[in-house]
Order: sequence, then structure tokens, then C-alpha cells
Amino acid sequence: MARKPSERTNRIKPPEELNLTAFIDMITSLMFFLLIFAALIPVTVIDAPLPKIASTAEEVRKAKEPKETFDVTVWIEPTAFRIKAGSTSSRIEKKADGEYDFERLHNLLVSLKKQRPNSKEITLVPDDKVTYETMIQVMDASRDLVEGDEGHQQLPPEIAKGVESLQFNRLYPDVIIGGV
Amino acid sequence: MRRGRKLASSRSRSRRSYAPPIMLASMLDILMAVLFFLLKNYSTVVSDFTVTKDIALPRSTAVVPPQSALQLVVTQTAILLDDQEIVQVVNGKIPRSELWRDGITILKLAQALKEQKNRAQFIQGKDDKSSFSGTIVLQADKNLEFDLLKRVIYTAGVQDFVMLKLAVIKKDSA
Repeated sequence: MARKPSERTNRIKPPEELNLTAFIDMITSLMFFLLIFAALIPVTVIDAPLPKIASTAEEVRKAKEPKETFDVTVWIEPTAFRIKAGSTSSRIEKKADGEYDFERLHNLLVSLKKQRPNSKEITLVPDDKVTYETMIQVMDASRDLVEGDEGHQQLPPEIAKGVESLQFNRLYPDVIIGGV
Repeated sequence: MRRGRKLASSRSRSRRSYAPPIMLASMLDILMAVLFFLLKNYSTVVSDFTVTKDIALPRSTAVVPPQSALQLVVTQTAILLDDQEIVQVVNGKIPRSELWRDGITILKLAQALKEQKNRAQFIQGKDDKSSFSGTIVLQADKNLEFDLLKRVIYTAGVQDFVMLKLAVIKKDSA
């Protein structure tokens, strides 16, 4: 007589799975760590060296050396830009909507650059009421040649987005903050 | 008797049917994708540069990455040097009592910068005290007026921190 099959051997076994709980815990904590510490805001910097007082003999000698420079100065006034380059000066009034005309400023600087291609320095003299954002916008307008400007070189995208692009399409990249 | 039958039936049910385990594989996939994304970002961004919370940096097309240097932060309410509050800003201006006789040098900031300068010169082991050119990364709120900033910049210049780097947010990013 056949025996009744054992219940222990015939019971349905749960499918065996990897215990992923610890692994998930680890990934989750790593993710939180990265989310907190990863600087997702891409910050860049603009070099704006201040004029240094010549204090050593070497610095005084260098300062006294005659230099052939073409100084471009932009005064940021509450209602307009005033630009002086060499012996010429011009004025760009604010637009009808009350915004500064950065496009006209940029075009004027491009034409000045054409006269003296080797000049790189620009001095900004902002009015006391001018905001920091406006100063940065002026620096942006004067830093690089943009598409459509005379002499602008088209760069491959991998170069255009990197630091290597600093070798090309420069307008007045060296900014000096005056009026301090 | 009835109780005994009930117990037996529930035991047999539990032997045949099992609660299906939670399927974690797809969730794990999602977590892994997010993790890789974060790791990729983490490696491309300079992580030792922290933007102060209550500050709105201006946006710019500049592409030069930041470098580690002395952090001078100017918010709408205070001036901080390396995360230490130096002077309070009231209504976008520095109180007259915080300024020197010339009306432009910020006394406490000048003192703090002098300490930093002495420390840097000591580390460099330089005897020539006059040849110092310090670097400062300036984080300033975009809505601040030049009237305030020029006092900060002037004070930095007086203490020979002339290599000024203006921190901005890259314009083409979100």
C-alpha cells in the first residue's frame, strides 16, 4: 500500500531571490550624499584684477616704461553708456524700455577692436547706483566676438563650450574695474 | 472542535499560497540610473566651490572654472570672509560706524584681510612683505549697487588682494 506523500517534501517552496535590501539601502544613502554635496550649479569666474600700487623698485620701473596702449573706458551711467577710446568718445543712451543697449555697445566695441586688433584691455567705471548684474552684462558684451561679428571664427562645439575657446574670438577680455 | 478545524484549514492555506515578494528590480534600475547621472555630474563640476544660500549670483557667458581661493561673499544683509560674518549690511549700505575716516575702507574687513595676508605670507615664507598679490573670489548678489561693492573692492585692494575673481553662474545652464 502506497504511503501518503510527505507534506514536508511536497510543500510549495517560495521562489528564492537575492536579498537586495542592503544593496538598495547603500545606493539610496549614496544618492542622498551626492545630491547634497554635488554642486549642480555650474559656477564660473571672471578675472577682474585691480590696479596694484607699485611698491617695489621693479614694479616702479615697469610702471614707468612707456607703453603703447589703446585704452578703452566705459562709464556706466544711470541713463547711458559713455565710451572713450583713444581720442574718440561716444554715448549710447538706454533703450525706450529703460534697458541698457548692450547690443549697440557690443557693436561699437567690435568696430573699435577693428582699429586696434591687439588691444585687449577695457576699463569699466560704473556709477554708484549701477547694479552688479549690469556690470557683469557689460563685461559679457565686451568679452567675446559673437556669431555675425566681423572676424568671428566658427568653432567646433567641443571646443566652443570649453576653456580652449578662450584662445579664439576675443574682444576685450581683460577687465579692469575703475572708479574704486 | 470547530476551533481545531479552523486552525488546520488556515495552516493548509498558508502552505499553498505565498504573498508574492515585492519586485525591487525595476526600482533598483531607476536608482542606478539616477546614481550614474549624479556621479557623472559630480566628476565634471568642481566640488570645493560652494555658493552661499541667500545670494543670487548674476549669470554670465564666462567659461573660466573657479579656483580655490579666499571667498569673499557680499549678500544683501552681510559681508562674509571664508564663511565668517564680518560686517552687516543695512539697506544695501554699510553703516557709517563700520567705515574708516576716508568713508570707503571697511575697518573690520580690512583687519580680517590683513590677518589672511599675514597668514599667507607666513606660509609662503616670504620676507619681502610688499610683493604680495592675494587672490579673492568675490560672490556678490546681483542686485547690489556698485556703491557698496566699490567699498569692498577698495578694501581688498588696500590689503593687496588685487587678483579679483568674480563668481557668476554659467549662462547656458538651467
